[in-house]
Amino acid sequence: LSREETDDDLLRAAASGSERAFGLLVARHIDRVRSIAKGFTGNLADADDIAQEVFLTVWRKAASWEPGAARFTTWVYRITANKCIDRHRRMRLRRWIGLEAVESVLASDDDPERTIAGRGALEIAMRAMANLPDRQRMAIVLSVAGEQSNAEIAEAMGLSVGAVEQLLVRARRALRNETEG
Amino acid sequence: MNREKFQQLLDLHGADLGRWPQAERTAAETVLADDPEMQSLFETTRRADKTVRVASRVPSSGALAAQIVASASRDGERPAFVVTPVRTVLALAGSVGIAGAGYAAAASLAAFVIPGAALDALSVFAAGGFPGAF
Repeated sequence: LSREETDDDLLRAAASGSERAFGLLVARHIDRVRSIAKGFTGNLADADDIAQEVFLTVWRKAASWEPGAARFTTWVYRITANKCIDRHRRMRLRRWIGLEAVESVLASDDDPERTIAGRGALEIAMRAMANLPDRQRMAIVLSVAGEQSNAEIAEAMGLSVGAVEQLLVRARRALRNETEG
Repeated sequence: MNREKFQQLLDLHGADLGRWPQAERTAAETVLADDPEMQSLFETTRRADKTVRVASRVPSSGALAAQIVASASRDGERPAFVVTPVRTVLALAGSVGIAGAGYAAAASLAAFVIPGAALDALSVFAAGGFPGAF
């Protein structure tokens, strides 16, 4: 039996043009990337668009990635965080100039969890998520949905560990206030 | 562990003790067993973390993965060759190695076919004629 190919192995092969290796990388990481993007944007269609952009960037830049500099997942989550925040800025501008209703962000996906858990409490919680400042939301999503350590979040967001800890403390306190009672 | 420390760790690592620093877990479990106020705080944090997980939940999408790979295979923007600092250094080292090998081979051949004095003159010319080549 051959050992399982690591992310580094696959990325090296993808950099040489192997679509098979790239496909394995996508299959291995796409759901986590979509999950982070969905947690940040609150919208499944946006999350899927972001995932496409993220992996296309991986494909295009695979040859410039140097093993050992950072873990592959840290690199992918960094791309994901940047795409999410860029997209959100564009959306906010569109809302500001009246092209998109604020409500559409929360109302546009048909997550079955909403039906199961009941719309009321969940929507309050989702709204609390949506109301978090971008960097707080990204930090808490990377921590909880991405299961990243605080040091890994710091690397993905290009911040110090101390700065990430401040974001997490504020985000958790804000969400706790909304979910209390 | 006092309440302040417990709350700080809760805010930093969330309501999953498995993600707390190993050294703090036993003390945290004791606080949780003994302090109803901290139990309540822990439970509220657990609900908040669950909110994030629910908000982040996605249905599996194999079709999207296949679509991404298909898009990549049609992608015309991918550079054929990317120059990185490591590759540049390796390429330069390779060039120097090849040039050096060529010089050595030429010198060996010349030693067979050119008289000694002419070879000395040629070496001087080469040293002056290609400054920094090696």
